[in-house]
Amino acid sequence: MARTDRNVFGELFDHFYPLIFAYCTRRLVVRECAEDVASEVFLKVAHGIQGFPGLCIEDFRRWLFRIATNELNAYLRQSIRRRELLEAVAQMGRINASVSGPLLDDTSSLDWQEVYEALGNLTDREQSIISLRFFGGLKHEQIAEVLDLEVGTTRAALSRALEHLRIRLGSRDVGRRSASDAPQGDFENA
Amino acid sequence: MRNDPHKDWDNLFNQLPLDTTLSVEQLEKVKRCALDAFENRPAP
Repeated sequence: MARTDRNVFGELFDHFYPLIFAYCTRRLVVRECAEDVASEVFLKVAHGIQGFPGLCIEDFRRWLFRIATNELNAYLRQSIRRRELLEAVAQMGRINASVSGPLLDDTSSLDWQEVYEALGNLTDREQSIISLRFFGGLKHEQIAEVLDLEVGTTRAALSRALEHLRIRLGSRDVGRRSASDAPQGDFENA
Repeated sequence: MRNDPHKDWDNLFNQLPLDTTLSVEQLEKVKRCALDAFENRPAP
């Protein structure tokens, strides 16, 4: 029905736009950038709805988050956009050590710029998995559908991506990543 | 070692100081654009 019925499409917009906007905001930090990307996602959805391959709302969610994730990755491939993000995130301050400490096994506190910088140095695939889980709020099964992976593969990939992020954050005081921190081969085709 | 590392990451990202709320006016403006795009979508 969403392919042909304006009202049904409008209902899908009402339900999903706030979710996509929140996803984009957490990924891009700059509200105006998130508004631009979220709007672009829905313009693409409206334009391509005739080719929507699914039958139910979960299929639509998967399709929508796949489009949004691709848009976010493309947006952040522009160095000027990454700089914009890091400048904005620098204003967000530090994270309470009681929250960051258990992740790093130490008592030092992180700031958000360090987190986003480390995230931005992961592969697209790793960034996508972490973003879908923590910025989009998707479950493993849903992430697997968005990225066209097996659920077990998704669980393992998320764990490895978080470990890479943790290593990068743990070594933030001693400069940039060492070769041993490099992502492994199964992420190279993200 | 951590028994539940994802819970720790949840705790971290739940601290993000970002406002993700939208005003009714913002929503209506974007929705109008999306519905216009829907009306002008390519034929199947």
